Amino acid sequence: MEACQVARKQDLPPPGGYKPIPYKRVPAKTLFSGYTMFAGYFGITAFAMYLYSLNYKQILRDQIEMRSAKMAIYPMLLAERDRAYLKQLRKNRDAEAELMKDVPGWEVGTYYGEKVYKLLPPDTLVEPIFHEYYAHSRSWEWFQRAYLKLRS
Amino acid sequence: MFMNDIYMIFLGLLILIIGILVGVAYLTLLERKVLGYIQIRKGPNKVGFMGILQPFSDAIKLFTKEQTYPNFSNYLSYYFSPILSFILSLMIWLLIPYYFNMISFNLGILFFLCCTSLGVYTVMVAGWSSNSNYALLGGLRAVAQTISYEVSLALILMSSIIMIMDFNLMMFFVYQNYVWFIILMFPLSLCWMSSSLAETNRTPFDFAEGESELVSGFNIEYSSGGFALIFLAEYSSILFMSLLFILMYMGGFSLSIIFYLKLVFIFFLFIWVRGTLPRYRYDKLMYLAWKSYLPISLNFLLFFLGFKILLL
Repeated sequence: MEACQVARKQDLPPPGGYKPIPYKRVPAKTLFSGYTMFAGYFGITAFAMYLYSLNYKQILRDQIEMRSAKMAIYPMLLAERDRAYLKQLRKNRDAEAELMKDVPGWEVGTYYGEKVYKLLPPDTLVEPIFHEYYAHSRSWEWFQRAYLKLRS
Repeated sequence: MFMNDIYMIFLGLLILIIGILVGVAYLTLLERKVLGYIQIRKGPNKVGFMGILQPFSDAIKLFTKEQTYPNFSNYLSYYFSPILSFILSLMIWLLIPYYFNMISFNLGILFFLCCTSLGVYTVMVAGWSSNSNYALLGGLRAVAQTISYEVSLALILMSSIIMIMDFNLMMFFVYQNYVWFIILMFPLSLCWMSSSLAETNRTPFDFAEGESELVSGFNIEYSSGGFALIFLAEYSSILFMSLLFILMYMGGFSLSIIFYLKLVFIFFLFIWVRGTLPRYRYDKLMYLAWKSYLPISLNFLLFFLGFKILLL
């Protein structure tokens, strides 16, 4: 007993006792009431629907414009295509004439003067098949065209 | 021309896959960092410069570990289901509006639904073929949950499809020029957000891997490469879900930095939810899908259908 001279301090509550333990729930602050939220939701949605309808009308107008532009350009495209086609036919004839110029008795577009299509009137345009159309082109270009044709 | 097309397609797919893998790697790093700061600690900050190489270190560690396989497993399906799930999750990414090889999906939304539905099978097969009770139970839970939430996901998607009248994901951009759909259909977007959380087995709904009951879920028996593949597949599908949220509700695709910031924000939302919310209860989750989201999405579908008819 004598060795323990240090004044011991008993572990006691602070004078006046402990503070009360805060155990009450702290609910989150309600910023909007239910009515406000519903009203806000309906208002925002209505406004968004208005904006969406504007957007939708814009899209319809764009589609109409695109369609009209396509319709307007279509005859031109057809004409261009036909022109290119006929030019290529002309080139094919020229190439054939150039190729066969040393063959005696060869007439371009016929087989030694014999018509290929005997029943057709003489000025009919017979559309050549794919291979005949590209008969005088380079093989690589012919292959590319075939690839495009098969894949489109 | 022919070979050129082939080269370009291969190059585009390669860039796409590398982009996904690196993106997923850094998303795991982002997740670990954000979770760390949410729990008032630092995330990985040692490897490389401030932990920037951590994902690669993880990947190397995972793939160099020994791959075990259970003796009584169904080996082929056990081995190939993670690979299949990884391939599926990469295939979904073909849908990203992407300017390199110009794969233009006119029926992209249907493709998305097909791929996510197929993803269920891999989970089921992985859980079953491991021949372990925990894996089987985890797989069953995951399958039930994913299928249920796919229904609500598809029905929520229907409203958006009605709004754009197309299956092409690019059309979302055209139709959200004036107003984002998140403003037009706010409750539906919240439903979509939580459904996608449940669809990807993310945290408030991660019953497939309830650590306390089911050690780790359907992937217990997977160790190195298989686990890494499952992990990658999961995270890339999460990333795709956040991408889809942006496409559907936040302005659609645009090739700009804002788009990617939005993407990161949505993924941050996923992580935030994981760091904040405790796990839900399984029966409540199922009731949420069938008794709340189903009627809500059907009602909204009717509403938007009427609105669209009104506009015609």
